Amino acid sequence: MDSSLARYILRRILQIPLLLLGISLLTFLIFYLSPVNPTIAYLGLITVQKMPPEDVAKVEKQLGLDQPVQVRYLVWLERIVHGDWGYSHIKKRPVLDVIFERFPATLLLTITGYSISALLGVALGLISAVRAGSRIDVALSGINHVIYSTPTFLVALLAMLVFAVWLGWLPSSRMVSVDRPTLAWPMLQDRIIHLILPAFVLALSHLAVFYTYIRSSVLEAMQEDYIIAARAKGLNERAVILRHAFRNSLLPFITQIGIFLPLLIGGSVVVESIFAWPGIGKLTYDAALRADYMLLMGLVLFTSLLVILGNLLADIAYALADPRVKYG
Amino acid sequence: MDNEKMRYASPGLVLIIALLLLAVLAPYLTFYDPVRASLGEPMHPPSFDHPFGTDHLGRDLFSRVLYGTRVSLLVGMSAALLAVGLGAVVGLFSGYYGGRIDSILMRLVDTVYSPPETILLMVLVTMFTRNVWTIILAIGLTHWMSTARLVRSEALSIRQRPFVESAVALGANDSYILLAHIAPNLLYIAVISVTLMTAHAILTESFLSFLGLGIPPHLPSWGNMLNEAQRDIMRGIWWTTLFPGVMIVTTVLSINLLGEDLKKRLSPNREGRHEL
Repeated sequence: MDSSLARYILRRILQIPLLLLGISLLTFLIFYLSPVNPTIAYLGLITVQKMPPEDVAKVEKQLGLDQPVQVRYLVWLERIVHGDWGYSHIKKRPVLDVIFERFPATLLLTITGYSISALLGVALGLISAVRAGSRIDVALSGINHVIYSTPTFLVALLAMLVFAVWLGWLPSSRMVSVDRPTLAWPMLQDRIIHLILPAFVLALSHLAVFYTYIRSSVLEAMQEDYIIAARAKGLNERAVILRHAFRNSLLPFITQIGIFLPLLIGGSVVVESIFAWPGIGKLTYDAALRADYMLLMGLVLFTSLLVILGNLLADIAYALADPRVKYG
Repeated sequence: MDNEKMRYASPGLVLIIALLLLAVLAPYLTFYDPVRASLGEPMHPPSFDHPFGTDHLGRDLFSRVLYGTRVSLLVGMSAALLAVGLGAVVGLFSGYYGGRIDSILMRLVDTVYSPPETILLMVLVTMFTRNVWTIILAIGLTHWMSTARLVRSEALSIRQRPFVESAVALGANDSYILLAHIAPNLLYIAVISVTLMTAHAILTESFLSFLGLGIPPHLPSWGNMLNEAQRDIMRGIWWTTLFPGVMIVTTVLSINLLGEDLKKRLSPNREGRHEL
């Protein structure tokens, strides 16, 4: 690794603290400006109602709620930095514990969905680009437009209606069966069967973006000089497209991963809520419905961290993959 | 695209005008109250009397879907105007003044971009009161960043063009240059952005309402109808999902088509240099 790349990565990492500060301020401000009673948010409505008023006042003093806003922010920030993200009232456990417990399920769903989406999107986009202007290209672009304009939850509802209710092929909710099999192989089968519907629905909702991206970037690459050179060399059209145009259009694809990450997490909220998938998307939905404010703030912070991390990794991967990048 | 094709109206525009007419004329086109329940005929499949069937409270789905057009278009367009307006102001200031203002505003953009939009929105609508106007506000406040970045980069390039430099040389002040020279040249971005953003905002509203976190349930919005249709699905009842769903897709699709069309017609460089 040469030194300019190392400097680029270092500079990129140094931008992060400022961003983290911004996100903590944003999260705190939403909470501070909202009409939510902070004592209720910290302790839970039922606890506050049961407590004698003088105890409530004592707790408020303890939490620093009688302090001016900047002090409150710093007190809150100190707790966050020390890993005390508050207490979730619907789960009756610390917020960070709940988030960490739920995260693997989301990871499984999003990675599966993302892979299906990327494979299908790239394949279809490539077909469209190779046959640009043909009937199949027009058809694929048309379908793509419709999918892009369809809300994910509608796809989920229709998929559930067709595959779970009418055909009865796939389970409509949860990650494992109620009477979960205990043997290794049937357990894996059970997992996979539960994964299919949510993963495909999630994949479909991002298919349009992949498809459009690959189609236009391959078409754009076809205009480049090195394509003319490859053709002049006498390569057949297949090799020109696959080895030259397609390979070069895959490169900027890496940075797209960073852009997809927030979309995928957002998409998982819908899919997880409908299919009762026990990940952080469903957790956000439950927290919103039952007004678990500490959990909600924790989720904003946690998902923002994920996005920042994803963007950082994507930028570094791109810099490593493309020697032409000027680390400016 | 050749000029021959440009003379025809966009199919998206035709559909949108039809939808606007449906929204305005809803009271004259329907025979049933969209809100009042009629216990006599719940869960009626589509028939001559009720072309879209009825829901679990016996309400006529045709009326509800038609009145839902009003809510969706109102929320979609207002939120899009707010988002693009805010984004344009931030982008103009950032691009024109540069320097410290620019770096502060762009860090703000980065910050608001970090949390996934869906999660930020759900937090906003949970922590603040929920009605049509706060939903519009919440969608607007979480969707201005892309316009801000776009307007900023265009404002940066226009600022260096000769006609702006000559205006500066003639002694024009900042606000004059911004309003008379830079803003008009960026109007096309605003028009395209508002159109595409309307489609996105309609999807967002329907998503929030579907989760029960959007438009208050007594108002007939497509998202609310689909929220109620969720439990019908398991009983194999399809019409409560299908019709509001088809309306969302048709509306969003036609607005997107119009947006694509506007992009082709209005962008100064038709080769698509202006990626929107």
